[in-house]
Amino acid sequence: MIGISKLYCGTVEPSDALRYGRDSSKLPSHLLQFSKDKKPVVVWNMGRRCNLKCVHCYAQSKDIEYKNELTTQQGKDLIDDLAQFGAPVILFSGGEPIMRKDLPELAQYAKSKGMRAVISTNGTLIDKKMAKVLKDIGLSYVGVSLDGMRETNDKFRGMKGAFDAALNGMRNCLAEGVKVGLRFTINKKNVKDIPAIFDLLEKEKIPRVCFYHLVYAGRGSKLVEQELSHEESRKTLDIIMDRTKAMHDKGFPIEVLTVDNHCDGPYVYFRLLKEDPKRAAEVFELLQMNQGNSSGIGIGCVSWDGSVHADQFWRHYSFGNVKERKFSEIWTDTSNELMAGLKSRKLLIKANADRCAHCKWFDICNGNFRVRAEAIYGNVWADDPACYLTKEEIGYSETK
Amino acid sequence: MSKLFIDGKAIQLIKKELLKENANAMRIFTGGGGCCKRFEITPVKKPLAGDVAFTQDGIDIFIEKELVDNTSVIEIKLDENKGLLINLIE
Repeated sequence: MIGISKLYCGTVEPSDALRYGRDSSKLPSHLLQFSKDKKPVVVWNMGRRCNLKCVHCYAQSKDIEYKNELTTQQGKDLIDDLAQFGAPVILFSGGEPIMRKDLPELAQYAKSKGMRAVISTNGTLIDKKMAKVLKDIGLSYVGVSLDGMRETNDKFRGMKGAFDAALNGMRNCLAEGVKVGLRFTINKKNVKDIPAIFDLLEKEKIPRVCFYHLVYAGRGSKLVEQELSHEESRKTLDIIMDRTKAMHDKGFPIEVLTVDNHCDGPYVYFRLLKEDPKRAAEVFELLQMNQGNSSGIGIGCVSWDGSVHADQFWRHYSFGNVKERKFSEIWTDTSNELMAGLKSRKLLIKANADRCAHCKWFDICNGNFRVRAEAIYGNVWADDPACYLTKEEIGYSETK
Repeated sequence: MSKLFIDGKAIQLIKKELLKENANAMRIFTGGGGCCKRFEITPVKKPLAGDVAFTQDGIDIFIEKELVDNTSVIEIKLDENKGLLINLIE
């Protein structure tokens, strides 16, 4: 996750730890974890059912009842374990999490255990009443997926009217004072909509946007056909930086993040080197604290059926099931070869990935996304094909 | 402008970590972003631009400007079960 607004514009938004607790005596304690020893943010795909039929859905969800999902009590047991383990954040996702009637109960339960509770939703079911429910739960953040403007989004989502319904959902959240952000997964078909998305954010006063790079997982994933070329990725980052800066200059300090491609960090640095070398030096230090990709370390995923994955894209590989063993036990069991590898991946990557082995940014990106390497090369420890930095930028010949 | 209070047990833990890492200061900041924000502490050699410096019991602590600007008091304590906890008080 790369904070474009933080790195490129130097803007840090006030902590939501404060925003949601004006009465200081009621502010909860937050975990303060050593960076090298941090526990995972856990994405819980709490239900597979969804009212939309998105073409790129990694859960391949439909609007039908699925069996074998965790019950409310099993969900609470999971939350107990995560809280005890020290997981700072639980992200309720799906399918569409709002389709599970016990979402408010479970989110409130997580909050009561001291965790930060956030949801990732398609937004289409957030009417005024639901927005009030989300506010009352005290959710820290509601991320709403929009993958383009009206026509593009509705085509992706498989439902006419999905764009308008999601936008209404965001408006309802904003009206209730719930922090809301837009999630946009970049691909060949929607990249042209990014400038219009910035216009929309400004018009609707939506304070945050996360641009997700495409993650294609599993061998033979057709999603890879929708991936931008390296040149297109670079141009897209430039557009995102330009538009972020323009909005900040206009006095709307929107928070802009890019997710799932850690070479964005060095790319921002290179641009700042030309524009503002002093700031570039500061950005370099900030990037060193970012620690790069942390699948299997700082982020984990629990599927609707209780399977534990390295992140939400590793659905084809399960480390175990929370119905049989606690998440905390599964997560720390390095007798599993993949889990052990992800937790100390550097030597494995250096032995298998030519570019990474000779990249001066390796410690900063931590080898980027392993699941993309597996999808393209059939080797988890190969180079991430989505790294768009040039050989010159990674210092290939200097270290070779 | 914040005041910083660190309890005795937390001080001992931080001192131990500094020794292990051969570092002379700790930095407290908001890590991650978007839905995944979290509070982190890491050994550093020097502050980053804008950081506010505090000293307690001989330990240098640098805190990200944003956290200091939005609080009047920052408390850090050690909970035997949960580990380090941070309280941000307006």
